[in-house]
Amino acid sequence: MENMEKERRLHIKLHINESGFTLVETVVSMSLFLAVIIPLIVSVGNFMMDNKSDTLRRATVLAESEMNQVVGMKDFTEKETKTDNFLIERKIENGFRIVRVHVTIAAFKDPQRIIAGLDKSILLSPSNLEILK
Amino acid sequence: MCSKYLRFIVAAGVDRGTFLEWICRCQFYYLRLLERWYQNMLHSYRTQMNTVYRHTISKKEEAGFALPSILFLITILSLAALSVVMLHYLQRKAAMLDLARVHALYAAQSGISEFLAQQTSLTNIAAGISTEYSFPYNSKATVVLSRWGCFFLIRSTGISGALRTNAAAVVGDNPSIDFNNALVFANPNHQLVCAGNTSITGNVTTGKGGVITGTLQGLPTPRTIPVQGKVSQQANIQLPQYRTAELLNEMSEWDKVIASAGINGSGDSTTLVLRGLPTILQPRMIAPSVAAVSINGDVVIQGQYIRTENPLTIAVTGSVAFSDSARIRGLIKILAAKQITIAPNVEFDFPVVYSQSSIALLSDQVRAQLFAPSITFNSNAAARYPSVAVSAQSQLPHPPKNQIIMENGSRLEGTMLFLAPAADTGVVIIKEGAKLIGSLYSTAYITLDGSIDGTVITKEFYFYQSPTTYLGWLKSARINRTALPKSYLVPPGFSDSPKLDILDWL
Repeated sequence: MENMEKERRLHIKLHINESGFTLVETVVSMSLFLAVIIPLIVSVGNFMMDNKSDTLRRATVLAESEMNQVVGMKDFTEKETKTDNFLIERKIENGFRIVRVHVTIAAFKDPQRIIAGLDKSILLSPSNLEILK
Repeated sequence: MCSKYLRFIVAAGVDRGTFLEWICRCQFYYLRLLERWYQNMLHSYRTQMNTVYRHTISKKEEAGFALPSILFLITILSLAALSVVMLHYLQRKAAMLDLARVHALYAAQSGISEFLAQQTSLTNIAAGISTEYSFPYNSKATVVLSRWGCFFLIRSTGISGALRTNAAAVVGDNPSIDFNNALVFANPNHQLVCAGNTSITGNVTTGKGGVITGTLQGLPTPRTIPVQGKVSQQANIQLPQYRTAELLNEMSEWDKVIASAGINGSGDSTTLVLRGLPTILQPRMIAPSVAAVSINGDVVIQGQYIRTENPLTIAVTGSVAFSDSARIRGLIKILAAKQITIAPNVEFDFPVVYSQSSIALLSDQVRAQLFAPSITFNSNAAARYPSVAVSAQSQLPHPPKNQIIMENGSRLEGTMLFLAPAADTGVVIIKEGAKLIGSLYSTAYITLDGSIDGTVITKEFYFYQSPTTYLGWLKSARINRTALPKSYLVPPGFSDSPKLDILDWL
């Protein structure tokens, strides 16, 4: 009987100690969790929303395609073209037997911001020189 | 999705195997963490049970698992976030590498274009030049020019950031004004006599004798001069000059290489020396670092040899034969003291082939520069553009007679240079049914019965019909300048102010 009483008291004491300790611990844990998780979610969200890599890749492909068109078609004229979200600008510089082609890809909404640019010097054969005249 | 990420990782230069190993390791550590977490939970639960039922508690064991759990969760989430950040970083880097790669390639190609546009004199070019060019977007190119047989070999390294790209091309010259003609007959002493089925489409330049028609037994006589074009007569006509000096110098260098192959010696680490008769050469015998192979005796070359970066020279003191399976591609020179036989089905992609004696071409899958005193194109043999056949005066004692023979049904696309020391020291024979697309330059006799789409520049025409030797006569030649494509290029050396151009990218 005496033993049972002792056990009951100890059990009550134990429960009181346990609950207090876990509450403090939980509050600290939650604070820590929120302090870490909020900036984490914000930065990860920013990264997820950020499509700079895709933009750069698309701009590179566009610039290459434009350059191939200039070389293949021998179309050495200055030009500005608008596609989806890009502004493609082609500039031509003539030298002796050579044409320097500059292709820049800028954001359509912000033409001052150049995303990618390519530069190529193309040697002209005598028959091609007639094209420039 | 997963494969897409893997592609980015691979594009960023991380080895696929290494990346998969990282993933496996991460998964292993993650499972271990989970196991530990589970054991902690189990331990805590057992401790509580013990506390309740066995009254053996201690304060230390009372601790809950909220904090470790949260810390564990934060770690997991941080790792997840880190992987997202890492992925985006790699994507960005891959995109920038793509752009840098294009910049490096364009810099290499632009370097070649800039270099060629600046060359206005062959004298400077012959010395060999290395030049550096800078381009926008922090890219630059280093360009080096050297001789490659009749042509030039130009190599350029484009650099953008840490990326390097190489470009190499064979360079020819745009034809000089003489090549606007269908025929330049540079003999001031003879008239050009057209007989039989001869026809010329394009302009003709001759000496003061001009062009007439002639009659041959058994052949029809043209009613009018069979020239569809303008005929110009120049009293003191001279054969347009070709700069043979550089070519002869290079051939004498090749002679020295062949002579050194016959001298006993083990050579250095870049030279492979093979002795013993007969020798069979196979690709596995030649390491990529080997630049020269010296073979004392005859050789049969088997297998496929490709060189695009480091040139390879195979020097043989005897004869060379190729097995049917042989493939020779890129910057390879084959130099032999005796005959070179190019069997049917052998494939050449622009090597230099030089024999001090003769070359017999039987294959129709060849694109090469052939140099020998005597060259024979067997029936149905074909050398594709921009091939070259050169028969030049040998520097060796007792040189063999110069001759180039194109048998019926053979074909050459490119240039034929016949550089005999005097008009009567050799002959070019183009038989009926043989075809040359390009140009034929000869300092000696030509027997022209086949057809040429392009230009013939010669000192003399010749054929023998018993009992008469005919000089300056054409009996069944067909020359058509208008059929030659505009992009046709000649070996540099016909003009002192060249307009060099890319013949072919390697």
